[in-house]
Amino acid sequence: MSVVIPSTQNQTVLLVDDHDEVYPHWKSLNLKNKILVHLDEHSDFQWIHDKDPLTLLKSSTAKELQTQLKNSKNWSSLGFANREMHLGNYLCQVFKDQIVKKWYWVVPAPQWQNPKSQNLIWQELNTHYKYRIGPMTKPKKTRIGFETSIYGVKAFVGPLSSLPEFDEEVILNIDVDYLTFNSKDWLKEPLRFRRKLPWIWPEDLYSRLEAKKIKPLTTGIAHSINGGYTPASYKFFGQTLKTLFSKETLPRDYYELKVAISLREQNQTGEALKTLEKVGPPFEAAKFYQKAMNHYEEGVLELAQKNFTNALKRDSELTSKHNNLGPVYEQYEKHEYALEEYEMMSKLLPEAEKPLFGKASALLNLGQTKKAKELLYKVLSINPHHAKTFLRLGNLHMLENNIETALKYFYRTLEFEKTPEPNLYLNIGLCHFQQKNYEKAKQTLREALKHGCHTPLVYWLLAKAYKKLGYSKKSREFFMEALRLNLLLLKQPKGFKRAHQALKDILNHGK
Amino acid sequence: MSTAAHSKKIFKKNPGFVPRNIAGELVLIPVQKELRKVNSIYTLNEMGASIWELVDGKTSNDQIKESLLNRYEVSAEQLDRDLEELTEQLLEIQALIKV
Repeated sequence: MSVVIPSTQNQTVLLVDDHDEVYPHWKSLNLKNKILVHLDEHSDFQWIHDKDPLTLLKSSTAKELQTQLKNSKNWSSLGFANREMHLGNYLCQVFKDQIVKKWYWVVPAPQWQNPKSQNLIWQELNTHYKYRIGPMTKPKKTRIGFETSIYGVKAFVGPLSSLPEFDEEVILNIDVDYLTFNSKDWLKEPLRFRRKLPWIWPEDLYSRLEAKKIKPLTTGIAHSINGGYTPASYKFFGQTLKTLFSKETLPRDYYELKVAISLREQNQTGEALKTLEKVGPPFEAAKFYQKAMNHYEEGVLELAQKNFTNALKRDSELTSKHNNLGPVYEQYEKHEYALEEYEMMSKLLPEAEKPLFGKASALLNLGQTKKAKELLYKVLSINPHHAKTFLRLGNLHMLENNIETALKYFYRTLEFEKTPEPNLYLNIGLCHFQQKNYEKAKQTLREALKHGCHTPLVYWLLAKAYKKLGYSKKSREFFMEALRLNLLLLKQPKGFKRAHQALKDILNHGK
Repeated sequence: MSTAAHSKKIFKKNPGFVPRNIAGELVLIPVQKELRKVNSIYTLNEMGASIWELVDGKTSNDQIKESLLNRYEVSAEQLDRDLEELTEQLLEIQALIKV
């Protein structure tokens, strides 16, 4: 949900959760050829394809395929049709619409100063160049940053210090994860990570932007909580930035909160708790969240639970998937730490299904299937319609070769999942294959295709199913598709009996 | 090229891959990766399937070779080459892990 605040100087301040929510607002303002200053850990730029790469499959000769590939460079390497706008690619649409003429992607100073992180940004630009879908010039390094041009928009990447002074109003776009940038080093110590301070506080960022004499025409601020990029404990930075850019004075409560967070970081939980008592609206959700964490770290579970419930009463978004660091640890395959996080959350919210499900997932990743299974059944006792739990149970039983039970859970998933993942159909298809029920295997694999699961494996399995059902021509067609995809997505270990080898065999047999 | 070091090596299966018999062919399904992101099909022929069966984290390549020599009409040199090539490939896709 977004909130538009007209500031005292006529500029608008838009507070959103996902960053792409700013796009309709910019369109409604009818902005053209503006300068965009984008402060974010992420570029929010991915290519949006104009064409469907699946058209490649319609080429009937090798020559035609080669020509298509030449004209539509590396469609396949980027994955399949990415034509929907989302928080990861909305800037591509912004460029195409000529809303901006110059794009300054300002990255967090610690991200820029770290050679590995800086190199990742350089690689990202070069990957975009290598697999370009739209016009882009070769990125180059300058003394202060990186430069390129995309859809005619001049693009600059660098830290805040590299920003020039602008003699016109700009579109300002801030993601809260810019302030809370995490390097992977923090993952080494879970407690330290949980208590980690931002590298820059909102009022300091505001002052630095003021010193650069930036005059925002409109300011978009994204919490980035739902996407899991900003820790839930710092969600209040969005509100803080909104206050600052609306030219209002920050209340004393904000500074008390800041002191309390710093005290907790220094392991002074008692003092932190005393300070938090002084915090009132509009930072109450953050206050109770912090109180819960301090009490938890002191081992006073009852008070931690009470305060966490109070925090949720004031801001239910704190219960989103990313209300803890579990998903972050999972992303970096630190499953033990993820388990610790989910453990904490299930202690704070004993009757909630999400932390229990998180714990089960972490245990599955750690290979502790028995314990994971017990927890999954517990999730079902809380919510008998929990589709993802059915899916996990299906996967577990499939792994154990209990095909009948796996199928039962997969079909239960279909019953309760509004938008089933395409791989669910693939799993069901595989189970039917195991049961030698080729007709049902064929039906569900075709569903997998309908749901966008266009992998060589699906085509190969369909070819096998059709062959078993006696449809040789259809079987050959699907082998052909599997072959083409395998060529496009080529990442095959040499020497295996590959799909295209299998195809060659079939074609030879057919002669 | 077969080496003495290779013959002493012991491997174990990555539990992230499960073998499934699909219409008469043994396919390694990577279960930890989302299936819809799997871009390759890893199928094993009869010899490959036998090797996969014998890998258990305890049996060395030498012992696997011995067992296969009793089962198949194949020269020791040929089997050495096949075994080394296959284990290298399975390591590459992380279906096998060195012990």
